[in-house]
Amino acid sequence: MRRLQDRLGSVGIHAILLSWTLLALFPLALIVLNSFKTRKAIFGDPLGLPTGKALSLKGYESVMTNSDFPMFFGNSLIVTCVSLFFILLFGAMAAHAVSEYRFKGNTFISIYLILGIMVPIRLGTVALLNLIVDLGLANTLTALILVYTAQGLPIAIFIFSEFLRSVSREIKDSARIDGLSEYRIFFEVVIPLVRPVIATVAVFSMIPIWNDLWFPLILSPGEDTRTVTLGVQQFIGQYTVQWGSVLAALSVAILPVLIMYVIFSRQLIRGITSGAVKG
Amino acid sequence: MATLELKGVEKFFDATQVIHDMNLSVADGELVVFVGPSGCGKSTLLRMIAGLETLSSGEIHIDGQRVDYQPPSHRGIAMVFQSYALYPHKDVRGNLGFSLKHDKVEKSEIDRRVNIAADILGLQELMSRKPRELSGGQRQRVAIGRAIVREPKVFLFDEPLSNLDAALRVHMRVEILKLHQRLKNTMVYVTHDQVEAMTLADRIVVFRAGKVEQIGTPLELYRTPANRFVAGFIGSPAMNFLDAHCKSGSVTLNGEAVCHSTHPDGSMTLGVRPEHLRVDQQGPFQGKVQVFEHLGGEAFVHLSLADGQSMVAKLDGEHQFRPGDACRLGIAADKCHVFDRDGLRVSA
Repeated sequence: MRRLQDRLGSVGIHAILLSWTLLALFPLALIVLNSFKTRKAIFGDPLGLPTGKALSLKGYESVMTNSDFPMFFGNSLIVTCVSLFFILLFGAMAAHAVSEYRFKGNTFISIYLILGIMVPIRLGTVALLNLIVDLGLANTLTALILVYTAQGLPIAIFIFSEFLRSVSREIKDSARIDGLSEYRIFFEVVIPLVRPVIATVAVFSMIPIWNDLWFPLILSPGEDTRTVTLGVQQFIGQYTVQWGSVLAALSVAILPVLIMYVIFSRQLIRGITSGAVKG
Repeated sequence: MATLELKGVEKFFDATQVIHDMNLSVADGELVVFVGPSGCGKSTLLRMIAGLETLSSGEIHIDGQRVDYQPPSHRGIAMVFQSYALYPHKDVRGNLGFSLKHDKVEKSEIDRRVNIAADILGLQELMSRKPRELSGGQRQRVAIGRAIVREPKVFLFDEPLSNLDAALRVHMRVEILKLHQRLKNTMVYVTHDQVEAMTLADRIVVFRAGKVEQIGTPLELYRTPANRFVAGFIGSPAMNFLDAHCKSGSVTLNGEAVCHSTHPDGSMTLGVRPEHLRVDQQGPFQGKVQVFEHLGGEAFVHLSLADGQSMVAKLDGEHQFRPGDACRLGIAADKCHVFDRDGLRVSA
């Protein structure tokens, strides 16, 4: 009886998880499927498979040849990678400082640093735009990198400081006795110990940056500085929308995130399950 | 030649004083053990010697040089931590050589020193293993090896055996003693375990609440404890403390004379070690057996005296008692300790 109950319970849980997975994957599958179809087939039979007459690679063709898409792709990649680098570097360093050292105002600073989690950065768009224009950074990738770094830091510091607190104090002391500078203790002793957390923070920070449309649209809508999400907009005209191209561009845009996720996922799961913070 | 000297060392955490005016000098090659209950400041003092905590006032001299303004790596010390504190991502060889590599010591010299340490501690088989693949005892040996390769003037041990199981602890204790005899380095060893203190130390420093209670060789502390605290802390099982009276130089308990003392007339505390008691039909301690523990070679008898005070005696394994039995114990008068009402020792 007990075993039957257990089994029913496990079937139930899996049914729920499975249906949630299907629900989450459905729009993605729809985008990828329809990106391989003719415009007519997209509207005539949105759920149909791209076979026979419906199959068309025109979307991909126009993305790769008729536009600056590779450049947009490069812009997105640069913005995401550089922002991610700064978020990880400064996030981990700030978290190390507030969790390792005792100094006046420590609590105040840690609260101040993670306060940003509660305040959506988009509220400050007008001020940010003014600032960026005043700095002469409008229409540059630097503007995006700066804003995204600021946007990603609070949650990164929050997650990092929770984990860094759990790093044994004696290991750091032992490194001090071995004569390492505080920087080398951070880079050579602490960082290798929290590698899973770095993957976790990387994934959490990367996705919103890659997918963002808001700041590219406002801060750097220029021809040369568009990111993928903004670049896709060029296929959406006032009178016609090249759905095949839009979907093809989006499908390609999914790839880097997917690859990064696969790389990080094993570490990510360890990171999420090993600490108190569950993202 | 490496001496260690503390002069008027004090430490405050905010308003709380955790170390009070500490003066101590450790001779070259001496193994000094800091012992005391947890929270007494002994580990803090060790961390101050290592340079991991700042001094609020006072001076620390190592080998005649003032070091309290220097970073840990310049003080000529090496420290072994309770949790081993090995670098998890480096193998044993990497852990042993890490500090030397960082000091830009030549590779051949690193290899030489690492190999010497590995030979001393029997680590040669384990050189390419990661810390997580080692047992607790092996990890502690690597931690000690990491201290040895630095060739320090002073070794600092912070409760190095507390994380090991009982059997291994005894084994490692002997290893550390052998190591000290071989290296002849000055060592400071912190523990809360009085057995470790007694067996390892050339001299013991007993701490309580940031103050030194007594400094002396293990036998001095055992034979002539300066006060009740030291008397109760050193020796296992702990000394029995009994409320007694002194009248014209004679200490009496429940009307029976026990020993002589220079204590003025009035109430005082009589201290008797369980191992000094023996069954004696004329003895002064008369009571009922509460519990009888037989360990084979020896036996512990827990007595309840006529006035309700309880005491423990360690007898040899020949004796047999049952709860409720009457029992009478005696002690040689020169083995008795007399403490006044402030807990200070009164010489006989």
